[in-house]
This record gives sequence, structure tokens and C-alpha cells, in this order.
Amino acid sequence: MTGQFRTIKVSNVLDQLADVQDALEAFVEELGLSDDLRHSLLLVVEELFVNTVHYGYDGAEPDTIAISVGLRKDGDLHLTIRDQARPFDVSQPPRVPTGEESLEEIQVGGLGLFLVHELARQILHQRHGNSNITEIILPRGGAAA
Amino acid sequence: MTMKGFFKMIEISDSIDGGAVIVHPKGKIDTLTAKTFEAHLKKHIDEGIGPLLVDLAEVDYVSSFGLRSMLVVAKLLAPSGRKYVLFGLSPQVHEVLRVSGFLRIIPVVASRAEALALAEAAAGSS
Repeated sequence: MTGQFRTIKVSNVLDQLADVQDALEAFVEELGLSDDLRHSLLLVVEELFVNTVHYGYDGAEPDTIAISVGLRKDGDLHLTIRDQARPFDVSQPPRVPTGEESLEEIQVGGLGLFLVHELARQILHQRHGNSNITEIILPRGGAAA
Repeated sequence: MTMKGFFKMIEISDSIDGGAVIVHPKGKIDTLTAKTFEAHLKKHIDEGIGPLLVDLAEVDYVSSFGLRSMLVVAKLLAPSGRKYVLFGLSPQVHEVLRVSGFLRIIPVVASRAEALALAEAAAGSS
């Protein structure tokens, strides 16, 4: 499907990220989105996709992850990610770095989800049957200011 | 165009300026490429003694995995006192470092000249 809406379906393996990125880059280019919005979109999708692939499944359980992105009339992006991984509510805020931790103390693992919360204007999570449906609004200006 | 397999290719070249090694990655530093980037910098840490500068002018995207690699390198270099400076960041990459709090940990400047000046100042004071 072309136009201002795109759905990308990939399997739950890490190297599919390259295909996801190629599809997102094509979408960004077609719509002439700003560099800020491009970076936010790539980052939020990568952090959530990688998090789901790393932690969402028991062993080699195959799944299809569907990533939909649409440009709204107000210029914001509406992102929806649907997977059948174990329940995970991304909308719960992660621990906020205080900036006073030493290098050793920084919890790097939580950084990805922290960035998602910084960049998104809104994050909604629903569990429908065995599916996680995560909806995110990315503001047109890029980082949520 | 897309590389199959766990690691995607990232193009990285090196140059030398005075006693400093300047590393020039190109493209995305993300989940698929961060390990390659990190291994490249670690090789310089093991083999070199001077300042290590990273030119990010041709890096158009950094995710948390890329940030993590930058932090690992800072951590490895800290005990030796060897200078580590990033420069040439796009506004978007700079913003991700800022939001993460990494600007407080890793020296970041705008230009190559500033990065070299900072590295030399550090070398002269030690």
C-alpha cells in the first residue's frame, strides 16, 4: 500500500530490522518527512522491535510483527505495532536517568525504552486476546518538546 | 542492498592527525551495526596510545545500542586518561546523546579542529 500509510510485516528475528529500516526510510523519503521525524520514527520502531524480539518470546517461537505508520493531518505520525509476544505494556514509564550515575551505574538496558518515552507524545498499550497492540504518536517536530 | 545475517555492514575508515586517531563511521549505528563499530574502536584502544576521536558527520542515525557502544568505549578509555572526543554530530544524533545524559559523560564538540584542540590540551596537561 502506498500513500500516507504503510504497514510492514516481518518475522520476530533481529536481522529483520534491516528490512524494517529500509521500508521506513522509503516511507520517510516519499512523504518528505523532516530529519527530526525520520530519526524519531527509526529510533522508536527499533527500540520496540528489538525489545520485543529479545524479551517477548520463549525460545524460537515464530511470530509476525506488524508495524503500521501513518501521517496524520496535523503532521504527527501515528505508529501501531502489533505482536503476539508475551504481554508487555510499553506505556509504563521506565526509570529516568538522573544524570548523576557513574559510568558503571548507568542501566544501559533501560535506555531504549527511556528514549521511546522521551520521543513519543503518547503511548497506548492494549492486550487483545494474545496480541499486544502498542500505539504511539510521534510529534511532527521530532523530539517531544 | 540489505545485508542478511545478524550483523549489517557499517563502513568505517580511519585517519591520523598528529598523535590522534580519527575514526569515521558512515551510516547507522544501531542494533545491527553497533558491535562492529565498538570492535573497531576497541582495536584502536588496544593498539594505540594517543587520543581517539570519532567523526560522526556521516552518521545519520544512532539508537540506544549505538549509544551503549559509545559509552563502553568511554569506560574503557577512562582509566588510561586517553582523550576521547566525538564531533560532527547531526542535530538529531546530538539530541539523542543529550536526552540520554551522555553529553555529561562523553566530550562532544562541533568540529574536527575543536576536537583536536581538546585532545591536545588534554595531552599537554598530563
